[in-house]
Amino acid sequence: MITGARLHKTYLADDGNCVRALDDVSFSVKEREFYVLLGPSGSGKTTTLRAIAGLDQPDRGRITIDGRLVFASDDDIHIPPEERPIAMAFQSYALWPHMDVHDNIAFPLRRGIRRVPPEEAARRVGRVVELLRLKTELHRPVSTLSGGQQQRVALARALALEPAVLLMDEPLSNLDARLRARLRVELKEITRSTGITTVYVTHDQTEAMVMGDRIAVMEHGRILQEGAPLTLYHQPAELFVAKFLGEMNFIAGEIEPGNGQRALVATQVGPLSLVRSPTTPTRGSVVLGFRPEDAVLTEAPGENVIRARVTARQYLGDAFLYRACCGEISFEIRRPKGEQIELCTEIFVYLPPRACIAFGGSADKSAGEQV
Amino acid sequence: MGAAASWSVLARLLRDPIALAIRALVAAAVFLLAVPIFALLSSSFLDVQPNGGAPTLANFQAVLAHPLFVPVVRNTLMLGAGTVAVMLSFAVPFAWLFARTDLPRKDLLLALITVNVAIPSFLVAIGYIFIFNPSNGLANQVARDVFGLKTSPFNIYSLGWMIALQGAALAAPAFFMIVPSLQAIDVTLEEAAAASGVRRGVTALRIVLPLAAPAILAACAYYFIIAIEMFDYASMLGMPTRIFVASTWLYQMINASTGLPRYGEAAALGLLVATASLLVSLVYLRAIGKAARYAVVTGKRRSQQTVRLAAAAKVIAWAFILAYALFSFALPVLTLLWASGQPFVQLPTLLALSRWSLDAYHEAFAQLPPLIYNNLVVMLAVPTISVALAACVGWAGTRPLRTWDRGRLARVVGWKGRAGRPRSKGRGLRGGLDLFVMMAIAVPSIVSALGFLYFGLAVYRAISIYTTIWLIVLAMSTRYLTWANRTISSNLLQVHPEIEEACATSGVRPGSAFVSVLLPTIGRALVYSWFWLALLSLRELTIPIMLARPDTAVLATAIWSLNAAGNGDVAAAMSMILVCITLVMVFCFHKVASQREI
Repeated sequence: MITGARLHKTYLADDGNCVRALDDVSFSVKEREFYVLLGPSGSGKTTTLRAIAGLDQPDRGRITIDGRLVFASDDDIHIPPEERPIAMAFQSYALWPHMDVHDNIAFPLRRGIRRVPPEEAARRVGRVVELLRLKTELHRPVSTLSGGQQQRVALARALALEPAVLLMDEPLSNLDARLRARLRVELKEITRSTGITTVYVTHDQTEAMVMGDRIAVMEHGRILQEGAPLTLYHQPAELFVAKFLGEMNFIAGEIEPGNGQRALVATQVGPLSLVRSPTTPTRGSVVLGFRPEDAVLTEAPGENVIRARVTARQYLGDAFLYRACCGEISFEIRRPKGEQIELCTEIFVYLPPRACIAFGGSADKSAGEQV
Repeated sequence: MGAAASWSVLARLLRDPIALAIRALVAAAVFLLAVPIFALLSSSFLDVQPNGGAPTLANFQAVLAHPLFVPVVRNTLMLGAGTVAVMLSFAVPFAWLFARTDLPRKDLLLALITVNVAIPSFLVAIGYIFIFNPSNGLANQVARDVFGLKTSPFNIYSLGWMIALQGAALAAPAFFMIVPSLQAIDVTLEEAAAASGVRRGVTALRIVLPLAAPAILAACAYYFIIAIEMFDYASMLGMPTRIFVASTWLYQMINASTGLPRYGEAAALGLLVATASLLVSLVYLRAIGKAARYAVVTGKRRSQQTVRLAAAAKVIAWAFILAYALFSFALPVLTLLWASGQPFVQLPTLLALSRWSLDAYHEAFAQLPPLIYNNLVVMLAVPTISVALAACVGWAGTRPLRTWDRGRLARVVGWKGRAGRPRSKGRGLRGGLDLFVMMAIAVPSIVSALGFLYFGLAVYRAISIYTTIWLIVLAMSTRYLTWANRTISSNLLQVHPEIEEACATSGVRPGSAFVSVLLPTIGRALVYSWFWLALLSLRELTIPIMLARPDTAVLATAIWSLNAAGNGDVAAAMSMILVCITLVMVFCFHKVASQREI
């Protein structure tokens, strides 16, 4: 439905440095897919979205939407945003402040390039208003609406265009946590029921996990890894992805070629074995990572068991988060609240080999790559 | 690819005719702003009369060697600096009282200052001439008759009076320029100082003032240029006793009582003045850049008044404000009212009151119809043209230029471009346009009017605009464009870019987005600017005095001429009519504004 091929964009920052906003970004979004671009600020996710929308022009590359070439640097093609089969919801909602709810939704249908006959416009407004429960707000000025309502108007305006592609740039980031959680589910439900192809930009990993059919994690203008939420969470290919999606403990070590599916990492807390994946390095310094909730308490020492002492405890409501130390190494484990452990207790922590992942390089891989 | 690419660009441009029209208006604005500069350059450096167009420096030599040159430079600098000093001594305390204290009846303060902006400066000058002129000024009459002095102690025709009155007059608009910067200062900064044990007076001087300093400096530079371009006081109080400043000398060269107009020398002097103003405007540009940076540093919260004034301080503050109002407009206007009913100026006694008549008003009304017609044309056309052009220029200058337009334009025009080289956001073409319009404030009104005079003469054979009111309209629109651009651009900058991007991504073309979304969003600023420009064009003297002919006179020039011709009572009567029109306009706008929450 949407493809981006080898997109590059460099711009000059205010401090005179060149910043690579897009560094060889390629992606392909399938029809009816909910595709999330996830990354910290400055990672290039919004630039990618704006390139799809046509609001920003990459220096190089090609973009197609719905089979139509909308940008190609080689062929000097750049279709302006208003002529692309898209609609977009913005972080600030970008509602037109001098119009009421109805006019905000109807204006593009009456005055835009994709204008439709008045009856059709009325039908579409009626449909999206129904879908987003805005019927009672229809003639209110948009400035009097709450944040959540404004967000729904912005979405209604986008959906009323019945675009091939819906683009969303952090649409929930200005809302409070409770409303955000509710609208996440609502948004996902609406895009599923309308069958619209969606590209969604966020820096919130929970949002990405909950909503995305597929997530692309971006950093420094590159897509580091792309995949279903489950894959990204349990099989991160890069340290950054592992860190960005949830919590993870890291222990430095040396990997040794093990036998068969297993590999062995020699660490300060003893040898730890793990199940190989295609991205597991074969030799050299590695960082072994595991998620706090994957650690299991056991009674006695054994294979992949770390002997540690509990030094701190946080109550999270549904669980406890413990900080445990073994020599100079400290890590966190998360256990259900039934398994309460007192401070200073000595524990045996079992790390299932399936839950351990080895990443090449060192743990504090430098950030801030500049040209 | 040339022809094909040109066609595709043409096709694209025609697809959005509104955007095309906007671009045409931007080009028109740039043309108008460039007219006076080119006219001055060509008339000063080219020897027009004898040998037709040979380059020459004779005009500059004549100006620099003229016996008046040194005194004019000295007087002009003193007028500029003195005016700014007087202006600050009123504007800064008023702005501080208004923005940061709990002064009672701030609405009245605002009303007094608004009226002061609206009252034409030349009326104040005439009013004071009635009071302090050395032969029969009211104050001098009192001094001679009541106190038995042999000579007149007061003489209004002096540089000192020019400075005092002009400074008081400009304090009002400067107030509006300084207040926002004082209001923008986050109240928590003062609270933090108070919580750290700093006294309020120290806080005001060491924290609030430095933060507002760039805005105050910007006001100084801006009104320095206004002070040396203003014709009202300099001509009415200076010319009778031959105290020349740049603006009046320029006028004298064109309207010499003996000999031919010295166009070439006037152009040379105009260029010199414009160059000097350019240097001052650089200070202004730097200062507003800094002011903007400070505005970012300080928070968003609107300040509440933090300084509680003691009862005595409130009384003193109001006494100061009322004294200012009396000095800057109440006294002269009342004097005009009195003088308009007297064939010659006499002290207000019961006997004189009984002789007060409307004769002068009859005469004034008889002259009124053509003046009112011209004034109406100016008042409707000038703000409309200025605001329309400023909105288009603001759009082109402040909104993100759409990259595909720039790229295609570059390719068609044949610029090599810097393909592949990283571009910085926000520089280049639109930065240049913005700067050009800002720099245009450096061309003083009187110089700009001179440029348009030459322009009118140059194109006279092709277009006979020189003899019509439209030359005045064009010159004033161009001058006011720079003013309107400041307000409208800063409002456009505050509109979130996503507002416009939302139009693009929902299929609305840039032209429609501008007309249907952007303009309504800044509607308040547009109406506000239109009204102020209408008011300013009603009272504008400097530009019409250079360009008006007998049949294109406006109220301002008519009053000026009546006064210059010694027709004091008719001038006063016509002034009172102008005051009434002005006050009605201010009142109407106030009504409209309060209804539409402007």
